[in-house]
Amino acid sequence: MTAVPRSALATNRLKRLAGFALGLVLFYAPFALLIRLFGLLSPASAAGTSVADAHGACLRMPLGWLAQPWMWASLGNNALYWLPIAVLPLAAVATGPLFCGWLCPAGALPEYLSHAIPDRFKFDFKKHVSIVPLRYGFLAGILFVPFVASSICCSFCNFTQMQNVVSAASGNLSGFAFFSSMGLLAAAVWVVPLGLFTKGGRGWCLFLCPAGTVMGLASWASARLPWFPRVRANASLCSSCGTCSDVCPMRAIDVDESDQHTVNDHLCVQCQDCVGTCPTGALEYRRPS
Amino acid sequence: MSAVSRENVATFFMAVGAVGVTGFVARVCPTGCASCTTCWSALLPAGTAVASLGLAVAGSAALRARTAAHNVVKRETEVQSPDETG
Repeated sequence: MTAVPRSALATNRLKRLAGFALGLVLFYAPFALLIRLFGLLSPASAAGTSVADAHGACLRMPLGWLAQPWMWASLGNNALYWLPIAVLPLAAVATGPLFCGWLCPAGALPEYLSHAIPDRFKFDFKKHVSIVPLRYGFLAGILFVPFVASSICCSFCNFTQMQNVVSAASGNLSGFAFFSSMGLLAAAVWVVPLGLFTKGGRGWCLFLCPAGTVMGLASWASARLPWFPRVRANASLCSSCGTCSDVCPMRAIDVDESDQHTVNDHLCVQCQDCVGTCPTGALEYRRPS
Repeated sequence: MSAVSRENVATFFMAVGAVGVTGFVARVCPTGCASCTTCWSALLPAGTAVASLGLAVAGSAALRARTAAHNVVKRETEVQSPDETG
């Protein structure tokens, strides 16, 4: 493998870190500026019934309502729910899941923490399991389960865990109360085996985030349309060095039988760590040629 | 491997089953509150979730290893067959 241009990688990771800080301010209490903006459009918010925190970007609840038609009225009187249902997936159609790669602190926290652990101690899911069918299977399960059993609750959600971290860090001591029982176990799984000890650090994003999976599906479905940019590989420039695959946090670089590297649109979050590090410039964030 | 192979379909349904088992256990949890946050009874669905998700991932790994072994045997057979028939 050729040497990775580490300065380009570090620069891109710093830019993304600034994006995640922005995401924290936009989506998470005590700031939640974007959630508050959507809340202003909502009669439910005006009545003081909406909570201005990461729950405003929750896709799991509207998905669960497929089995609870009496809840559909919530979609009419609370503009907040259109953020995860429509705005984020449509943005993923237009640009790819930039939210995941550049704004989501819940994905970023374990990813950045994992940089502290040497790669030899990490498990590379890509080498051992079929990530894409597992990912869609978990999403289908989350859609299916409310019809036959209990809905999967907030404690399984990394948005909730991240909100609890931010609440606790910003002085709201009730945030600590959630780190007990199931909350503690879910947070531990999110950060330790699926974060610190996962190659790329985004194991939870790979398998268990319904919002990320829906955005990945939207991105894949629209990737071939001529208007929308994605990270794309130019096969004629690829030297098959494997640098892109090594730095990809989502394990989204596939290698075909002729050793050419391609981007898996189901998984790619358009973070562009690979773009700056490719020694031959074979990867670009661009429209289809 | 085609995009929709038997391995991928089996993996998909293992993941569906893992979430299904978790949802079922959450429903029969003694508290029945379905807000598994601070309640220690919720360790039952939480433990089930971790175990079933782990099993789905392990099942996917086993399926992939089996498919890879099958493909090696198939390739070796294809390479040997011209000599055998020639």
